[in-house]
Amino acid sequence: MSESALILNFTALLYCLAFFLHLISFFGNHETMHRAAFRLMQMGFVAATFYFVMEAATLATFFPVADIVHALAFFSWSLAFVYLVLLSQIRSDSFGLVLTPVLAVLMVSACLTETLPSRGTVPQANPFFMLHILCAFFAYASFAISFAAALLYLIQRHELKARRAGAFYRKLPSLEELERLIDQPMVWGTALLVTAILIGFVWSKTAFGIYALTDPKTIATALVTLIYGTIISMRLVSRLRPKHAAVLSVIAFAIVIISFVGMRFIHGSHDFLA
Amino acid sequence: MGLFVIGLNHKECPVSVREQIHFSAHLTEKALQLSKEQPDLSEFLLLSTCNRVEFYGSTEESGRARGLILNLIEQVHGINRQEFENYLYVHESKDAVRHLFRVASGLDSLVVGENEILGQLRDAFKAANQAGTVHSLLYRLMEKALKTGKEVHSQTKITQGAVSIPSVAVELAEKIFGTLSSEKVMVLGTGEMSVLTLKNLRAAGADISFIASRNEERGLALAKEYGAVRLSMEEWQRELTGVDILIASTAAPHPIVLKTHMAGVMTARRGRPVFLIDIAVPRNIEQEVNQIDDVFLYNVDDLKGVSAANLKLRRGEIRAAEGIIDGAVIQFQSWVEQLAARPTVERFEEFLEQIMQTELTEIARETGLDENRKAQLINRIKAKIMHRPFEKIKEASKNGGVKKHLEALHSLFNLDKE
Repeated sequence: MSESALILNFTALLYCLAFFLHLISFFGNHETMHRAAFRLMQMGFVAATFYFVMEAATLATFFPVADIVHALAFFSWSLAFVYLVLLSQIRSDSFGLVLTPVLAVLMVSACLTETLPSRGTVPQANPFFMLHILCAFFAYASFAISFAAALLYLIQRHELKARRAGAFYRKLPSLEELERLIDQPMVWGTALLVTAILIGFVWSKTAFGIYALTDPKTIATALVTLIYGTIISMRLVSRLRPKHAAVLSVIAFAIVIISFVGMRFIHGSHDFLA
Repeated sequence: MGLFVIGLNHKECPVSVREQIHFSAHLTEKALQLSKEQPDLSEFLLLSTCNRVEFYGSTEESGRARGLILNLIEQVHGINRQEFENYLYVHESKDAVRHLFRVASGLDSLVVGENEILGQLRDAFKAANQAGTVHSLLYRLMEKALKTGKEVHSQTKITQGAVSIPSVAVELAEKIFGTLSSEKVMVLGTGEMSVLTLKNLRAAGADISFIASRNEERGLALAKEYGAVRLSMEEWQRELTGVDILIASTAAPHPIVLKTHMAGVMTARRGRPVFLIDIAVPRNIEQEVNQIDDVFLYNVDDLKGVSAANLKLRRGEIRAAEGIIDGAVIQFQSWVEQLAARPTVERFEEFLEQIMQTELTEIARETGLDENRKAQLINRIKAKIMHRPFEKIKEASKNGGVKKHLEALHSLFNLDKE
């Protein structure tokens, strides 16, 4: 097993342990477990960062996302980045409980996915292409955060409406905070996805001489952007209640997943992850 | 040297008796001064709160404390001991230490986990320290008790979750609105509980905006106190749209806040949530109001339900808290035993020194060993001989086994006669 594969496995192990500790902390009321789980998550993020640094050195590229293993690992990395760095002010048990299994599943999938035995250096990616991919990954990571917050919002709202003071009531942040966590990443994600689409057009024109307008993935991404854009604009004019925004965020993320998975079967010319 | 605690508390003693022997700051001072006149009482501290009156101290002879404290109470309050004697509990040595640590941690409180007691204990310690009735033993004990109380509060969740009705209301408001900053509060009716809830909400950062009351005088007084607008019972409805938290506690025999009212209000609020607290019996807010989206209605029973759940959570933490207390008791007892062992150990050290001085002086004379070298030799041999007994005593101090080692030293080396 190569050193980078070892680091990847180690990262997956850290995320699995973090999830396990989050579970114990959530249902067993252990503050120390929660702290330990958060530390493990941070360590996992650092390990994943180190993995990409090593891959960049091995593949002699600035942007070491060359296959499906890298893509899964990078999506996990960007999700952890948004949570740990951009949203560092939130550290509730519940958020970790929702995110760590996602991180663990992505990393374990990356570990279990077979790649070609020998990967030499990859050609240096076009800067537009790199930016396009980066924006897209961070956009989807932001939508995932918004989705997690929406789920938690609906649970907390249900607890408060039902007048129950159970574990979720205690551990989940306030409705107001969750509302912010639905809206804020949704705005970031939409802005990033729009940027990704625009840069993608420029890149496809530069690389292939055409604007890939009819590509199935382009259409699906445009549809996702439109959905999120509509939710945001309705929120801005106060026509959409927080509860409905949460439900729509969940639906929109389901569409993201469907479009992501669907594109594995309908490749078109846009077969980066296929 | 016997450490003791004698006291009575909310568990057994009715408030009618507790209030008779309550010690105000002035009476506490008087009792502390009187305690200094008792030669048998080597250290003394008094803790008096609304739920307990406790006397901590140490006497040379165990068993003397009860009589001394009964006399003191009679002297200060001028009441007969028969009126309260039966409610008194007495704990000595390790049990007294454990009791104090449980008190400091809030485990012995009426509301488990309340942390006000820690401040009260700190004040009692300060008063006794200033009066000069606290010396090495109680000083160390109190320091350890305050530290243990803090540890229990920070390492367990025993203080988490609100348990009184007003604080539950604040907790719920914070679960809906996050940190309270500018949320507007309206109160209908100015009963005791609604005023307490107002006080708690304001302390949490909410803006008390409207006071609606039938009693104009009381309504105006409250409005002035909170910088709010006083409304009559005919005017409050028109302001409802701007209100985030509504407390209802009027004496109306039927609901005065209806679903039809709130439906209109919520349309105008465009999804901004409203928290309705109905602490009136009979209820002031129609139950169906909770069916409206973004309305969160809690009546007295619902608030009590949250309080009970929080209390259950706190009780679930008692085991963890007791674990911390057990550790602290062992540490303190170990210190006490080591302290008690000191005179014997010092005597044993002197005994060794004496023997070595005699023998080595003889050898020094014969061999020409200088004084410095002789002193070095004595110290080294003494340290080597003492090392193992010291370690044994230290180890035994953790489980109360020092006494047998000290007795062995006394009997084997005849230390008493030295």
